[in-house]
Amino acid sequence: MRSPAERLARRARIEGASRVVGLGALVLALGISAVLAARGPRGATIIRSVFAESPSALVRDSLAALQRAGREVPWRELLLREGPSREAISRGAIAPLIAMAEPVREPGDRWRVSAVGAGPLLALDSLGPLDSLDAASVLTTDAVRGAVRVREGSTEARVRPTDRVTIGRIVVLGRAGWEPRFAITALEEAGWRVDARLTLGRERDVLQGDFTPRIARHAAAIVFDTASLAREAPALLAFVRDGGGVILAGEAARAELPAFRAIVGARVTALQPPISRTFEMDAPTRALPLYALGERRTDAVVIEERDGTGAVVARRVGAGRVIQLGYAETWRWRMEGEGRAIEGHRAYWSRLVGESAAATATPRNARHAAPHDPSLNDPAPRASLVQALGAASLDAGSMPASLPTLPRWLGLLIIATLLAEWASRRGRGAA
Amino acid sequence: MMAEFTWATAQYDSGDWDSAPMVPPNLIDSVARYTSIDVAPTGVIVPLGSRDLFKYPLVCLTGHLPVRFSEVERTTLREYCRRGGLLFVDDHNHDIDGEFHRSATEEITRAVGPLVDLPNDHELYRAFFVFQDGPPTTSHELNGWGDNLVHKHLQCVMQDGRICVLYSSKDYSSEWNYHPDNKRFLSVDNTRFGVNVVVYALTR
Repeated sequence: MRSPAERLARRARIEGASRVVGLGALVLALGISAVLAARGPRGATIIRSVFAESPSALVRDSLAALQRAGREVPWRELLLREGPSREAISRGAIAPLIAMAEPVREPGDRWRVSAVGAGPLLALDSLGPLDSLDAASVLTTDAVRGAVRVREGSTEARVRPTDRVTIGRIVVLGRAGWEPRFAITALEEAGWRVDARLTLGRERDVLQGDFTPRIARHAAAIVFDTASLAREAPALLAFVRDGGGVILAGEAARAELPAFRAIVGARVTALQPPISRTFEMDAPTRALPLYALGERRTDAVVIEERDGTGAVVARRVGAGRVIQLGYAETWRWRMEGEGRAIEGHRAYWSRLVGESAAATATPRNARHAAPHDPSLNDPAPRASLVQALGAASLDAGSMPASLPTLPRWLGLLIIATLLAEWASRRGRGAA
Repeated sequence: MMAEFTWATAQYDSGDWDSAPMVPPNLIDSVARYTSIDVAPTGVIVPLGSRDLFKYPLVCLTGHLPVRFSEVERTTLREYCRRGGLLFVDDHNHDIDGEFHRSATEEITRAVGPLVDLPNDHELYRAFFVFQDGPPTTSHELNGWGDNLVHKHLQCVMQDGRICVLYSSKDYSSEWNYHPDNKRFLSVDNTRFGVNVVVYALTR
């Protein structure tokens, strides 16, 4: 039999040993977890981001790289309050914005900047502001310097214009008349180089520019009359299949020559008289007679309609494009129109030819080009952010908050240690 | 829709704008006779100060008497030229520095700009018929009054490389002012230059 003093001493030893074992296990667990955290095991690190403005492409790409390496990279944006307090509107700091800059397929170094955002936009280049834009608008501007930037609040989309287009000469074929004459005038004023053959009957032609019968050397051909269409049918068909643009206007748009039936996009189904007696500034074509372009092929594209009727129809043929212009006597728009009728008629014809003509992309003049910095090309910052990192977290509380994971055996060890400590205390209490 | 080309005569407030009534039918006949241009069988008279002027990109103006344009006529003519119209003015007198000539050139200068000599090798003289020596002379210049006053050049106001006002002191209004049927009595049709003016306007 052991004496009470011996039993107390034995319990004290057991209790001391249990504490030593528990403390040792705890120190060991903490040490191992610290080592594991320092080594950076997969899934052990969270990088939380809160953006007050659109992150740069560099930041975005860096976070995406970390995410690909196994880190969790949740993000959210600051919510901004706008408007009167009673009707406060919250919106994200990073606007859903997209911008695009493409060369205008017409003579001159002009660019078409398209942008879609949620509110008023500002377009800039390296020299400063170009213009303000509505939420969804297109701006045509002269030569831009450096990258084009479109700003909405603190969000900025950047596009780096790279190429410009070069378009060759245009050929006009038709019978002498006001329509081809004013179309040529408009195109020349717009900077197109035009060759023409206008017939006057009895094999008398008026030749203009550098006209040669080789249509293939041109970028686009505009045909106004049936006789010219028939006369040049084989050349025109080969021309469009090889990538040239053919515009059928006036009488040629409604000619139903068998050779062209297979390539045109529509048929003239009716003659619609002018809807308006005057050429109003916002809708001048309503004052023109229209040969309605109906019975369209499935692959024909209606470029312009008037009250639901096809007015301009395009169709791809081989590598080229055929456009039918249903409006007649467009020259009256220039001569009789209100306001900026001359400019409107000029731009209309120039755009029509630009949409069909074969164009060659050439590098921009180095003086005007933006440096080859990838960060200068960020056309849709928010979309790129979502694409790179996934959708935003709704708020900070919803962000994942998991602790670094530990090996299972270490968890069991900690539990065993805690049980030992508990048993020790129970043992002492029992005594 | 209207015919492709309609001969239009300008009516202005001052002077005798209708001094050559047979010129339109004669020139319409010539255009139809020599070309395939779709020409209206009758001409029209269009007030110089009216917006109707813009419906006719080629308009002819003639007279004997002094010409004074109203402000509306002046403004309309300026806009007409800017849009691409061509005004062909002929002095129905064949003299030098006469009343029509002085007043008409003053008015044209005020409305559009100063007249300059049109080179005799200008494409106008090859637009359809070829006139190697420039504008054809008229019988009135050579012997109408026995004075042999031959004007060597036509004059013009150019805009963007195109003639917008063509001015003649050669009295084509008298030369062409006869019934078209009488062309058969001429060895060479003297209205051929008028065809060139029409073709030039329709193609340049």
